[in-house]
Amino acid sequence: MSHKPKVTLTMCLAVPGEILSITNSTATVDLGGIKQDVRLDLVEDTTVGHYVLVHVGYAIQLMTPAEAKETFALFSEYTAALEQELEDS
Amino acid sequence: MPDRPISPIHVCGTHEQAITKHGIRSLPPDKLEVLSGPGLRTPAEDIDHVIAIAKSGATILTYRDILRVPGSKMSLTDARAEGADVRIVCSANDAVRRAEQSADDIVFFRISFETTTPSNAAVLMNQPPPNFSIFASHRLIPPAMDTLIDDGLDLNIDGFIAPGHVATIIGTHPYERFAKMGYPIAVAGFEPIDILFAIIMILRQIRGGEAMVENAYTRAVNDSGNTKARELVDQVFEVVDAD
Repeated sequence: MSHKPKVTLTMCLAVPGEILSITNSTATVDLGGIKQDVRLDLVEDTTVGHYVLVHVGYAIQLMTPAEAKETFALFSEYTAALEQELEDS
Repeated sequence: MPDRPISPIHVCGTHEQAITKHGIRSLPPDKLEVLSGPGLRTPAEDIDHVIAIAKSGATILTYRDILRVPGSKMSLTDARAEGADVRIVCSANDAVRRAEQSADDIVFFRISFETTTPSNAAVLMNQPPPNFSIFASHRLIPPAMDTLIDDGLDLNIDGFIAPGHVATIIGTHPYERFAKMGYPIAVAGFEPIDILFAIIMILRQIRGGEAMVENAYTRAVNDSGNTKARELVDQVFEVVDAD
């Protein structure tokens, strides 16, 4: 017996990105190949080259490069597995 | 171990989506059943209020996933079909930019847990233009867990898979009182391996007769969370009962 919600909101996604440049409180961030402008209001002491976790256009946490790369590696692992599955089917 | 399926519960719609998408319920043995908590539900009256605001002439900006959430009579999609000006944005900051470029009244509507609320606080602290306002419908996870425990007596809750990005903001400490109540807690990310890792942590705790807060998502969550984000939220918003 599972209790499924009637309407599911799925906005809790967040992805890591590397800060490429900063102008005032807005950074241009590389989200694994996609560039996006991200606000830095919620994090402290960020600079170019830092990795941040991005949620709805805001950096919500600093990440180490190792942590970010771990996440990117997981993403590419799933993408590869998915492509393999599509090829096999 | 009890003589029934072990049933950890998650409380987040994004966890439910990941669990369903990756078929996680089909992986473990029958003795394990992952329950789905309420997720983030928008009260119908909030949708009704926002539709009324739209029909009074304001432009509503919101995130895509909320458009089909039903109010008591209609959803925002239905209201749009009837002529209400409802548009999609990707960020509270985008909403402010639209307001700066518009002479119309702009109302940004988003319900959120702790993860998204700080961005709303940030835009309000940055002196948005006078034609910009937020219809705030924010919720907190720990009280939602209390409600599940108090009202969910027909559920056998054997532990909580806690939403990782909420913990990015609030840290892991707010979950400690649930561990003290006897519930194993694992803070989980949203990749399937994160969720499986959290389930293993909960099972190990149950087997060891323990209940504590563990972090299965250390790459995005530290124990103290994001202090700056919480301070901003405290400056802008006040916690009240949802009803």
